Amino acid sequence: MTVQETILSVRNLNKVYETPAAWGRAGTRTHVVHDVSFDIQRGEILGLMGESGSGKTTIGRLILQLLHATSGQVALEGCDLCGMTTQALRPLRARMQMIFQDPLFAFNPRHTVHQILGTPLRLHPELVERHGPVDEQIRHVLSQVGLPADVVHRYPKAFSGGQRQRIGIARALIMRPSLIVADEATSALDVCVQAQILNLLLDLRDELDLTILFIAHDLTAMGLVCDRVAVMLRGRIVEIAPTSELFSRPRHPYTASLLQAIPRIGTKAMPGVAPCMPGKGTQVQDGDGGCPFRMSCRWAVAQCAHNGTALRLLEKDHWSACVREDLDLPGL
Amino acid sequence: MTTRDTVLEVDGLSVGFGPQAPNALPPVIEDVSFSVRRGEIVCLVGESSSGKSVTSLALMGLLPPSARITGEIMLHGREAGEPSLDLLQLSRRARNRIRGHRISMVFQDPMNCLDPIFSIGNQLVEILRWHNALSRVEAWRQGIGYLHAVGINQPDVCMKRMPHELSGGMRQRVMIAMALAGKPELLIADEPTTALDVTVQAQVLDLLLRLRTQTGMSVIFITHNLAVASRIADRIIVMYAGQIVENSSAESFFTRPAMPYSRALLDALPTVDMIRQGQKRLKTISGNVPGLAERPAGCRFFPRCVHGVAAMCDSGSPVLQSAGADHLVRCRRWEEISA
Repeated sequence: MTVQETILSVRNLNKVYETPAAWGRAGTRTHVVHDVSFDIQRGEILGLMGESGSGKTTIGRLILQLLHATSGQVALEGCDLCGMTTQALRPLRARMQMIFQDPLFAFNPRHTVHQILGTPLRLHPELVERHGPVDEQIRHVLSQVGLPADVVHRYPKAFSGGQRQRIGIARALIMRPSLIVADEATSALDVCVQAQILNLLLDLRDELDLTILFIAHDLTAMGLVCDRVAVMLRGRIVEIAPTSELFSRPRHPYTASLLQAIPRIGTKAMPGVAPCMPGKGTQVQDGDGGCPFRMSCRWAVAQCAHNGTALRLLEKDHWSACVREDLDLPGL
Repeated sequence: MTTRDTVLEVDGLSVGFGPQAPNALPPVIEDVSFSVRRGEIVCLVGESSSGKSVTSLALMGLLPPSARITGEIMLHGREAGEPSLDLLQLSRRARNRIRGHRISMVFQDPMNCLDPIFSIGNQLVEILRWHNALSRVEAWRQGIGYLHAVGINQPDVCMKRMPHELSGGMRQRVMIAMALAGKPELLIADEPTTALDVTVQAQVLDLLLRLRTQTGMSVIFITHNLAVASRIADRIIVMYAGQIVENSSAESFFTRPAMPYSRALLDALPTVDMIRQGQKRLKTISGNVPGLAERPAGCRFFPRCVHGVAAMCDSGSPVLQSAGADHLVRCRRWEEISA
């Protein structure tokens, strides 16, 4: 990267689900994404890591405008997407693509690979004008993801999990997007196949200068492919830093507890030393202004009840929301 | 090994599906033999379509009637005088008495295994009363005890909850509590942590270890993740294309993996060291697991193996041979490769 060019800029993104009061039952407000801000530069892979329910998938969908944000901004290459009409968004959708966890459910089972890859081009004829005929582009993109050209007449169910994920990636690539959101793209795959797909994503990034938002809960995979990682907890980003920094010197106790939970070869688990983690019984009320991790945190102090939601810059590119800047937490 | 310290002995188990001979497909799993000791945690490791789930379903007697099963699955009694049972010869009724009572199973996706319209307590009480002659009140009381044993914070509140109100980790614990309700000697856990987050996964693994110590039950843990296996296993059994290719004590396996496939699996795993060193690319195994009809005649891993020698590996199926104490491997060249 010579000159940094911001592809995606997310500012103060919020998403609240409200159920109205009805039949004597009080309405509820669930704040699933809380004031989230980050940037992704061209050619960068940013990891978004968090447990289920932390809001990472919601953020992916908010960026792609598959959900409407309650407030905040999502700017793709400088144009703000929130508040655009469906009509105005349509030409922009080609510039951001998604790779799904299980591509079998993301494909029409009655469509051949040719139809799967050709449909997006049919909807965006300007890409055919610019980059050549459909068949040629399909052949090109299949070779990029390492599939033979003769698969075009086969149906999704005829492929193995890894091949299907390659088709999923090909469908995203054929639009020549500025941004790819990969939501748990390798979680459903076997270890060897996962390794192949992770390598493919890295190769494609180097070759095409792709920008990827990599959403996952698998920390080891994330540590391998991402340039920077953001850790989410209950709808907030609690720490964001370059990968090696974050893994070697975490500054938020929640990140440290996640790192301790990584299963690794050669360390046998000892009963009773499971890491501390936010359990259901220790749910912190939304919007009380305190750190969402404080109930499970062994370093919590009184200050944590009112502080610890805003990210602060600790050193170059390393942001953490924890008020205890003095902590020396174990990394990997 | 005397009868008493072995819970389960599987001998020459083969399972086939589809049309009868002469146009029958080759069996999905072939000549699977292993044994499980009392209190032992055995990890069955393999990629999808390696046959690990079919093996576990065969142990539970949950394969469809069309499956062609041969071999022997012996369940040994705890006391010396207790008879050993061949599970494949039992009637359906006799099988039902064993299932859930002496052998129980935890499945991968806890959401699909709980009935969405009954409360947790309701479902747990049903199981408890099925296995034991208990009053409703007593069963409810014991149910709370089981939920407590699997580490649920407020078990009495949890009993009244509906499945959708619980998180993934809680549901998986409820499933384990239900599996434990029959006080099984053997628990089969089919990828119980694959759908869970790392922290919850750590808790569930921790729980299995603790229960093993407390109750002395044996566990067959099925996973495709060797890092998870290394965390809890006493024994590792690696399956590939329907065969056991390595069967070893965990210690021996992780210090000296003998089968090239096991080594490749270990290499394909992103590790903490790689992240530390800033390494970006993973080693992969070229090609795919061969389909049922295209399994090679010789060593099944030969087409993908980096150590394969054409004249040696591509004809005649290799047999499991000893590669040290308590270590079996299905490779003719393991000695040269290890050297």
